[in-house]
Amino acid sequence: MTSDPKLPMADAITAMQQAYIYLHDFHIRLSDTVMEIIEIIGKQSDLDLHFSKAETVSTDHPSFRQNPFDRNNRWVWDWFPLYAVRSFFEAKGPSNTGTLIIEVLFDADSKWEGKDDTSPSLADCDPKHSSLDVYFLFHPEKNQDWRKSWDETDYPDDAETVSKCENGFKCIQFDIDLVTLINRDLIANRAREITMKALKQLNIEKIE
Amino acid sequence: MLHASLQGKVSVNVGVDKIGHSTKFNEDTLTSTVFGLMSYLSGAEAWQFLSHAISGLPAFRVGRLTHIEFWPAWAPTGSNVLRTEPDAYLRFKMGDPEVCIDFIVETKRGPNSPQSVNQWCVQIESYYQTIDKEQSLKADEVFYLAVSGFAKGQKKYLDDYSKRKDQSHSVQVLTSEWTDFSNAARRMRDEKSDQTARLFGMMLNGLAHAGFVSRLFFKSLPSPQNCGFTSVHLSELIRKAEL
Repeated sequence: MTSDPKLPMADAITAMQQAYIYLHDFHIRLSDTVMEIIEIIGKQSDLDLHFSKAETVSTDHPSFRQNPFDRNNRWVWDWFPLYAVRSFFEAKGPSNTGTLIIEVLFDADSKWEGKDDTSPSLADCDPKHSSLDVYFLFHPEKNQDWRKSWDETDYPDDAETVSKCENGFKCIQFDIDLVTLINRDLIANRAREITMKALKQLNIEKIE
Repeated sequence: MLHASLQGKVSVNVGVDKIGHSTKFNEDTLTSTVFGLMSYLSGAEAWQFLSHAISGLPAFRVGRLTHIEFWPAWAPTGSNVLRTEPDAYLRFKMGDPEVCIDFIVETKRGPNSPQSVNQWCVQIESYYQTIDKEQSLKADEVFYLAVSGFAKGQKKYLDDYSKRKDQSHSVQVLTSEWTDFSNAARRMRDEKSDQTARLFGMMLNGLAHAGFVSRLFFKSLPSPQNCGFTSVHLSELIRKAEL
């Protein structure tokens, strides 16, 4: 980057534009990775998975009605590039002894909450703790209002172990680590592996 | 036709699998989608697209696609096969001076309908008997392009072919998957504009409808330095902005 004394903001704008391009490239790959995982889980489980909902984890999704100049209402940066966003995919069709939901969460905000008015510090972000988390949530009732119930439920503490949560949910969580996330074949293998484990441990079968 | 199919206006769209991909998109529909749309491009753009999708093609900046034929019926002699029908036959004249390059294309829907090395050998022999028999029609280079259907992995098929091939035929076998064409189409759509971008957008939709979605993964994420992005702390940028 070259500095032009006549354009004191040029460096900042250039850096912001370059960062935006990088975020775009990152966002596209993360979106495609999530869709690949969901597609493989759908194939492996022989269940129809449909997108249901996506939301930021710790901050508010921006609204067109919000005043963007009010710092209390500002758009914080987790939606793009899916920095801390969770997405839900619901199994439709001939399931069911209950309701199965797949939640995918890219967890990259290990410490920083993004709530206060300070700039985020890299010291608060350790990529080692980042991963793509996949939750298989199963509720024994059909067509229940699972969103509200799940919102009121804590995440399980242990990975790869079935937890019985409050509100009747059974849940099992798997990590897809950063090494796996690099490569399409590794992602596919891991997605198939976790699907088989989840279906077995949650005792879910498709009813024809 | 393709628009009508994708919008569910014609019956080719009727069957869908459990994730909504059309099961009626067989290898013929896919061949038509990819190579049919490609035939509307200039020779240079068509070659650029193929080069994005297939490894091992020589580089050319100018050229013409002079002939494309779908499902040509070739009758090999000296074989117990009465008729063989590759999915497409293409002739390019590329470069300056022009080099004549032929493609014999054999496509499969996916790993569940595997390629057959025996079929490759029959089609290549038929090509030499049909196209290459006249001196005036001889191509300078011949590629046999096998798309998808590698249930045992591409290397196994290539190894089998190298053991069985007729040494007098100088054909180079190339392999690719439909997703390679999806990725190439996505790249071309993003690089081009107007009608060319629309054509590749249509091709992408057709391939995605059949389940061959172009996806990007983190392996291809450029490093921040290669994006031109230099790590600068936000406070430093703000300080500069406030100067």
